[in-house]
Amino acid sequence: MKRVLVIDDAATVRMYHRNILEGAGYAVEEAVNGMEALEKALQEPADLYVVDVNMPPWDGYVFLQRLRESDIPQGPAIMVSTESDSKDEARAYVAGANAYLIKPVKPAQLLTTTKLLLGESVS
Amino acid sequence: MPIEYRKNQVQFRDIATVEEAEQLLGWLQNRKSPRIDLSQCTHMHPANLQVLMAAKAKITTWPADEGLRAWLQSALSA
Amino acid sequence: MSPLLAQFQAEASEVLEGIALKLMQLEKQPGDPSLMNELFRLVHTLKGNSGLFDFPEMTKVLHAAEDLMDSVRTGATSQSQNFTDQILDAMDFVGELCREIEAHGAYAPNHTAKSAQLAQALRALISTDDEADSNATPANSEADSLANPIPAELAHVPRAVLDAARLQVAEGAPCFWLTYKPDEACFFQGDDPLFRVRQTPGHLWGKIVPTAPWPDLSALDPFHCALAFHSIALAPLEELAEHFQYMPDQVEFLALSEAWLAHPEGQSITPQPGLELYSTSQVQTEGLSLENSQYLAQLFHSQRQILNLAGDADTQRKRFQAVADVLSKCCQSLGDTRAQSRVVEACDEALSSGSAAPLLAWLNDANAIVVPKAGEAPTPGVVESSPSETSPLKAQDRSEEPSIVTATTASGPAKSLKVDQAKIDRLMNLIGELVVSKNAIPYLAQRAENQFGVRELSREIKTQYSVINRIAEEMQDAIMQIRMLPVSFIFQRFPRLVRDISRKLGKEVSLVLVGEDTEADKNIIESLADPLIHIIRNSLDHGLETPEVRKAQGKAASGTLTISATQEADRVLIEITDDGKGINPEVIKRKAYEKGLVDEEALARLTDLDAIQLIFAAGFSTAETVSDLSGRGVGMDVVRSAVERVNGTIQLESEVGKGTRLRISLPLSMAVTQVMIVESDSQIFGIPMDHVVETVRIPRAAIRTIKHSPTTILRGRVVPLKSLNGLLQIAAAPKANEQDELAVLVVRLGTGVVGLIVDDFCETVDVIQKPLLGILSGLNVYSGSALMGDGSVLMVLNLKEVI
Repeated sequence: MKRVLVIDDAATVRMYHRNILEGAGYAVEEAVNGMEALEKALQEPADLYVVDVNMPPWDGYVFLQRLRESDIPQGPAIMVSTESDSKDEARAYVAGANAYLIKPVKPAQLLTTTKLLLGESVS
Repeated sequence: MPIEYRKNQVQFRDIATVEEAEQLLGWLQNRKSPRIDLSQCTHMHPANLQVLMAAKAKITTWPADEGLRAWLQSALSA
Repeated sequence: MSPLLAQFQAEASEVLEGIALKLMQLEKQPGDPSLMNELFRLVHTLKGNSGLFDFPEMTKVLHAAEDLMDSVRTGATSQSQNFTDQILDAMDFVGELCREIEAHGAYAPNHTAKSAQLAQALRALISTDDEADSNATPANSEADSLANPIPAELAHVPRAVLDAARLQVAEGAPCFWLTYKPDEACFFQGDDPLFRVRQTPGHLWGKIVPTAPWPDLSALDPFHCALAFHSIALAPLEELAEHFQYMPDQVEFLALSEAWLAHPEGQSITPQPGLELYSTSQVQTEGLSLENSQYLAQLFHSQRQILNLAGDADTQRKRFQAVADVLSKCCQSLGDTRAQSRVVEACDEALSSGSAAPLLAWLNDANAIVVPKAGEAPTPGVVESSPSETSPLKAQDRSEEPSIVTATTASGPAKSLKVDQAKIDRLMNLIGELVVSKNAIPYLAQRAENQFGVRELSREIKTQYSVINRIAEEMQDAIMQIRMLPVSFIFQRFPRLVRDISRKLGKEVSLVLVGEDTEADKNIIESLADPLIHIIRNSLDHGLETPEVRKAQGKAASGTLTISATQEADRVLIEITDDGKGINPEVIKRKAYEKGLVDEEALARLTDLDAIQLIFAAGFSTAETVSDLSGRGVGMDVVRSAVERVNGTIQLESEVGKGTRLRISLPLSMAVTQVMIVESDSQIFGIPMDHVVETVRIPRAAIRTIKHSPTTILRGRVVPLKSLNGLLQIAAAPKANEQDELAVLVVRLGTGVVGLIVDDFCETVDVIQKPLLGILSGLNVYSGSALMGDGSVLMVLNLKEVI
């Protein structure tokens, strides 16, 4: 079973993402901020990360940067944000995101993007 | 005159150009339920079309030109 | 109540409490940034959570509150008593809705008016600048929704039209859905979008929709295009693209396939009320529906943006790898192993060339990634139940044409415009004049103060000057950008050149080009062509050995010639490296001595590194026999002077038996030069600051004559002195100041320094040098001329020629 780490400071959003992903057979773990997420990732790297932007003390950008600098196996990361501005999007890519989705993310989009990033059949 | 204005009726003839749109807008603003006759119209600049759409104008007679009619009906026959 | 909704409830009440608390604290410590940030985050979280459900009234109020808070947080709006009251009111409303949800699982439908009123009250507090912004958002989202309206729209197309289209498609006709959203200002440009869509080739059906709700007639601007056009056309993509070729960014095409036309409503995303939409069970049964292929397209778009990011070589390589990994996984998802292997090839190419181009090309070739074609790998049941063959990524026929064409992104690079070079040169000249005339303004300010005694005015002039100065600098920069060319412009000739020459010489050479997309000013790039060709010839001719010789020395039979370009700060570095026999410094020394280029004494002092630089000396040619290729009487001295002419430097490193490396460092742009103005015999001259080490005043007594040449000692170093007058054959003697000191400009030349005696130093200025034309162009002592603020002409010295 592929492991997905969902990182968001809002419990409701975490649960929402968890429901979608668990429903499709992924093992979901949660972290409430970037620092906790990095600790978890360093202990046991996830196959994919779903990362919120705004969450103190470390935001999603910092988390991704540190994750990408680390020498653990690198899973793909989807950044989810409320900002549709291209600058915010570019910043996500610079930090190391592989995909950028706008909140609220449609379940189908989160799932399809996850599957595509993990090389799993989408049909 | 590509657009002929009467008391409560407007008749489009041939091609209504972009320059007509302002006058059309002014005319429509003071009419409650004008009759709009497009039967002789062969083309209409979309500036005019916008005015008709925004005014929710009822078209009395559609253009004879089939292609134009189909496009205009998609926009004006709500 | 679903667990998710229960979670929402729990978090909402927690957050609402938090908001109330922070608001109270903020009352006591108005404007405290950390409180403000925390408050913003809480509201932001609540808004994000409510967006997961169908609670539009709640989301609307929270969105307005978030915008207001963001405006206060950034200081654009001040935090008033009213601010606290309004936020509290809004949160009370949200709390009320939450209680209703808790009791009934949803809130009553009668809150719309209250929600709108609260949102408006919140927005009213945002200062006007922001208001314009928030007003703009709905319009944008309207436009965004227009970009992907197909699923919903297609279901509204009359059955008869779809059937007609389907019959045509079944017989192999191309069929496209197109969305044309004309530019709002297009009427002013004489466009008639309706006329254009009426003329669409293969037009079958069309619909005109407003891009936003119509305003009141009195507020309508008829000349501001607010229409979008949808059409189904039975025509090949190329014809359609050609028909709309002048508005590529306003039109989108999407291939329609048979299955899709048969079940248009099957792909429509019908939002369901309440939370049902978010239950996950319905998702898995989908094939690569239109919806999914849009997600795929979006993921591809992300990869394209990642490839277009700027960064150093190492970062870029990581990005190439990351993008290739994602693309490879996508292919795997779709079961297309051939496309996957092409990703691997493109990635290898990208990594070895340091350029994103191969991966971008892969992305542009949408045909490279298609769902297995119906005939090749039939997936049972797929065609019937899920329209996997309707993917918009799949070409309508099996040609090499990509099937989805959003004209803006399909070809990757930005739109370009061909401009006559003379026009850009004119722009350069004009900006040059602007820079010069702007230089006159500080003089004016000085005069206002000193001559007319109006200090106030002088200050105002200076303020205005700084504004103009900034704009002029930005303009200069913008024009510089226009003139930038990638080095591939000249690199592209090399593979052929190397192949031809190595064949002629019976040598085996593999050429490696790195950093071809490194950019520099057009003149710099152009000036590089001849020297590089000469260097390559030299390398192939004298550097690399024949396969037999190489094998005998235990080297690979095929030699490697690497030409790389990188940008470092404001310079471009070009390195030409071969793994040939290298240059023997002893041979060079002997030759140089034989040709009288160095005397015995100098020879003894020469280090090996210095010795090999001698090949750049005029009149030096190392080839034992004059070869057909490089030994044409022009040697490396020509290369050196060509490089130096554009303010470049060239350096040589070599190891016998291992190879040779030439490094050429060039300025990115040659347009603006900082020069120091010096005065000599009542004339002014410019000296490029690149050369200036320091300015000193030396008492006449401190000047000694050693070997008939005047010298002085500066910081323990012997510095030869030359009089600028003497060098320019001006008869006058250098003037000293009252203390009988001479002004000496210490300049660096090659590896040594020289003191230049002038009459006086003046300020340093930025100038745009123009090459000397006509009869003056023969004067090598000047590198160019520049106009000064007072209208006079400054001659800029070419020190290498002068001294």
